[in-house]
Amino acid sequence: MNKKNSYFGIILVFITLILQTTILANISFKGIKPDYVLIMLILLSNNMGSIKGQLLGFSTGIVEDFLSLSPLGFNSLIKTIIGYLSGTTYGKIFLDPIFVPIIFVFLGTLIKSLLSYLLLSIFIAEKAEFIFTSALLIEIALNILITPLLYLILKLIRVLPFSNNSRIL
Amino acid sequence: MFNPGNFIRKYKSASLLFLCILISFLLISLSTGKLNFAPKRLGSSVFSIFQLTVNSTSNFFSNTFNSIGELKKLKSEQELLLLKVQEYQIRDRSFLELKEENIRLREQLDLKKTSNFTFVSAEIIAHDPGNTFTSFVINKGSSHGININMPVLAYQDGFQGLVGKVIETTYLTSKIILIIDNTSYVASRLLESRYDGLTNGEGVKTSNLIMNYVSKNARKSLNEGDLVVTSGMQSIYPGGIYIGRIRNIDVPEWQTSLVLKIEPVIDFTSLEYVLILTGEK
Repeated sequence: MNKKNSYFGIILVFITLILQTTILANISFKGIKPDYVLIMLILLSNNMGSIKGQLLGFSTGIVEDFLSLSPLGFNSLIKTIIGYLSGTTYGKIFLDPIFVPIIFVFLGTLIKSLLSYLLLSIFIAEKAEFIFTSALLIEIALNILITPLLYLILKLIRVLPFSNNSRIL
Repeated sequence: MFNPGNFIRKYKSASLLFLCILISFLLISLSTGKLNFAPKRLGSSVFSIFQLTVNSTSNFFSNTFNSIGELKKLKSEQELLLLKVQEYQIRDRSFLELKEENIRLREQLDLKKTSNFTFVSAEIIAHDPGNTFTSFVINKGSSHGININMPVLAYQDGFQGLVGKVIETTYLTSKIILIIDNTSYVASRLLESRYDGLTNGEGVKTSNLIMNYVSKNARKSLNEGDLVVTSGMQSIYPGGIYIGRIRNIDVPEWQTSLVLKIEPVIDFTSLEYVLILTGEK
């Protein structure tokens, strides 16, 4: 991924975060919203590597904490780890348009929930028990549905490259 | 001999990850320690400007498109409203008679007069980006007289219902924690039977509230559909504000109190405007 596309991708993630709290917040099912920023972080980190991935995750997480009721550092820690883990697949796993991004996003959402549960158990215990409920299943389903669409958009605007030099593991 | 510089250069990615995690942990510890952590407030102030901008822009476009259809709708609504006004004029006369009787009865029971409150109205401009926490951002802040812990209400379907309280303010915007958040507790009371309890949420906008610590003696006098209001006892919320209606009554054998499921009077998924209670007249 070249530098220009990297910067454009980073700006796009921050714009998506603002939109996620405003216009995109209206798209929900039973009060649960998809996590567009998480999906974009996973897809971009796969193309940027672990260092850029965790930096992107840390910075978007901090901004998300500013905009949310969550304690400062909560989302930054979770997204740093997810950005790092997604970045470690750089050059190792080939991203097809549908199947592999969905697997990544599914795992990413599960990791996010697990980390949320662990952090909330330590810092805000009364919230921890509400993580693994039907709301998680709805969020996973919505994230999976949105993933191919976001992947296509990122490909069309050239943030993600059309050709991939990665080899299949 | 161990060289930290070489170690960091060799394991650059892992070192950076460790640093980011450490900083995040430090931030969470300080944030949840209930310190007045200025960086979060500063960040909220800066980024809430983007939320205001996006919301204003999208409102402009949606209002422009909607106004065309609105004109036709408004004409038919006006005709209906004129009929209602006539009906209310008749009701007003009987209401005045009832009010006079109420005043006389209250004087006899030596009750305090009903308080009148001052409100500031606000529009919801943003929602919490995640699903773990439930909050709104409104377009009024400290410059409009909003302070932390002010109660927030809304009108919907003829009810003035409780929405939550102000938890954070910036110069132009404020953040509200909703009563459906599972860390939000409201001292509440059953309107008819007058039994007290404590109500909190389950964390999802479409879920019910849970009212705990209601005495088991209340079971016989409770029915589904009974209204729950704020009790006003040692609470930031004044008494008598509608919270919801009983949807389910649970009588656990191992507990000394009832557990009631309350359906909020306010539909949080369609809320657009709120009222912040700023004081008493």
